[in-house]
Amino acid sequence: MERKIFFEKARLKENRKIGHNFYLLKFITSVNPVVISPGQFVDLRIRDNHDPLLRRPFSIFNYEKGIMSVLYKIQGRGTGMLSSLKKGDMIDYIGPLGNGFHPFKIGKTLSVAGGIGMAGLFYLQKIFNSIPLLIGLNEKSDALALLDLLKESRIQQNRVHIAVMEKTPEFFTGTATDLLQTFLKRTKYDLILSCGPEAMMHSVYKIAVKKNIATQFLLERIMGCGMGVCQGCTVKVKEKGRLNNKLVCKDGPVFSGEEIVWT
Amino acid sequence: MKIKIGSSEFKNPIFAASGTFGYGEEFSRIIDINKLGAIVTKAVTLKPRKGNEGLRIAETPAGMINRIGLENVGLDAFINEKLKFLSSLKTGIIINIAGETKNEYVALAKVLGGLAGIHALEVNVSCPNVEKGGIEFSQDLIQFKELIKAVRKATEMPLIVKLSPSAGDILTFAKLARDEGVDAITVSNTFKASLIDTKSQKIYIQGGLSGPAIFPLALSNVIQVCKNIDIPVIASGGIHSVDTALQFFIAGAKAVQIGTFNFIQPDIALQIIKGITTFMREKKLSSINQIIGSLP
Repeated sequence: MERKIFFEKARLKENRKIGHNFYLLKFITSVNPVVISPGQFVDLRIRDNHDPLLRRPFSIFNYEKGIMSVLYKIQGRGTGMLSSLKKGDMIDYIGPLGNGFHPFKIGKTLSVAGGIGMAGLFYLQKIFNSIPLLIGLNEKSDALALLDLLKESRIQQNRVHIAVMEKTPEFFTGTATDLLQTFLKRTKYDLILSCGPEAMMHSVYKIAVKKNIATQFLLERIMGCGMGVCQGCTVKVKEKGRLNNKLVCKDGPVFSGEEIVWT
Repeated sequence: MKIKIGSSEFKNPIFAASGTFGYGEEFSRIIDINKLGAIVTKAVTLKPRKGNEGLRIAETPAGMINRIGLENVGLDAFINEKLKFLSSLKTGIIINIAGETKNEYVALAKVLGGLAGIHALEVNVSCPNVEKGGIEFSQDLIQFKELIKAVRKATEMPLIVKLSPSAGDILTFAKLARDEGVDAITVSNTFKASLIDTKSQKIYIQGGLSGPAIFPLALSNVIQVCKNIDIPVIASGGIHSVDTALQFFIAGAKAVQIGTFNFIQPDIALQIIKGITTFMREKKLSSINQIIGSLP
């Protein structure tokens, strides 16, 4: 059966800065958690004006007691405007959209996120808290703020491992993929789930292929509608030996590493 | 609010524009699409099309440039997989057809024009003619006229031609279409538009501009065409409110198509239907025809 998609106006419960680079936006929703699949997204209309025009898609970061939240970073004018909204303001959203992660056996699974790509992996972490989640961040202050946020969001911290580019005794120094390599040396995994910059995900894929580990990647694209109508957000995939375009919003946003044509 | 185009009647003049509503399925999950006057489908071509490679959309101030490249499932899959759902709706169904040669359009018109549950065909002329060196049918008066003549001959179903606003004098094309016996013209498709990436100094995107940004441009064309042509004009371009839809009707449009704004506000068509009903009640008008063409 098709899951319900909500389209409604929502009141902001909170919109605040997390560390130096991230923001958390919480809004009141009628969405029932049963309809949310980890890896799905919501398409937000930031303001009622026409510039920027298009909605902006955000991974569902968390859902708790009628409150949905997204974690974001200021990337351009849309997210810049979003960051200026205050508690009590209204936004409208469409969602949950997309399919989320493909069904998998939890057994030997690992998640790897680069930067704000982590936003797409926490809800999965909350539901299946036995999966180690490796996150690569640039600054120590972001890592500390993130740990506080996880505590507050009731997302277990003990399986979350953070790598920070800035040299500091509290955290592993390096990138998310450096941290991944150390995990793979210690334990054998069957599946890696990942979201982050395209180059980082490509590195994760190359590492996984060498070790014969299956992969699922949560992709990001500029989207026109978020629902599969405008056909603007394509990804090139290999399908039955042929090259095809798929839509990140409707067919994804999660794709297996083998089907993606990496560039 | 009823209107007629050719022999087909539509319960109201608020339509969804081609390419912004798919084949109806996605929007039916979040709004009651049966309330619309009609849905104009995504363009259907004879064979399935993969569409363009690379970046397909970009945002501009109050607008969007797209270069999707007519990706669609093709005629056979359309009939087998999409038409059943469309036919089950209580709204008008207009099939947008596109081709690379005149014969492809004719073949589409013959097959689709003979099917039940379809209320009109809309000819998308903004496609390169591969037999004429890739010049768009919409850009050349002779091949435009030949195309419309051939499609008109192929079907008795109500026929709409969707004009391009980037082909010079839109009125000349509108008159040609009228002379070939089409039932209505859609004014208009997207405006040709480009962006350059200043870092690489290369074209970032080249495609068609839509969205609120083009509304005044489209309105200007609609005013000009409605003043000079006596067949129904369907206005399309940048509608984003009750007020913009009303402006098209006042200019003389018999129906309007909502495009890009469906993405921004999926219930915009329903809001406009409601808003126009209120406007008519307040002005004590019994028919939408009392608004249409009321511009002195």
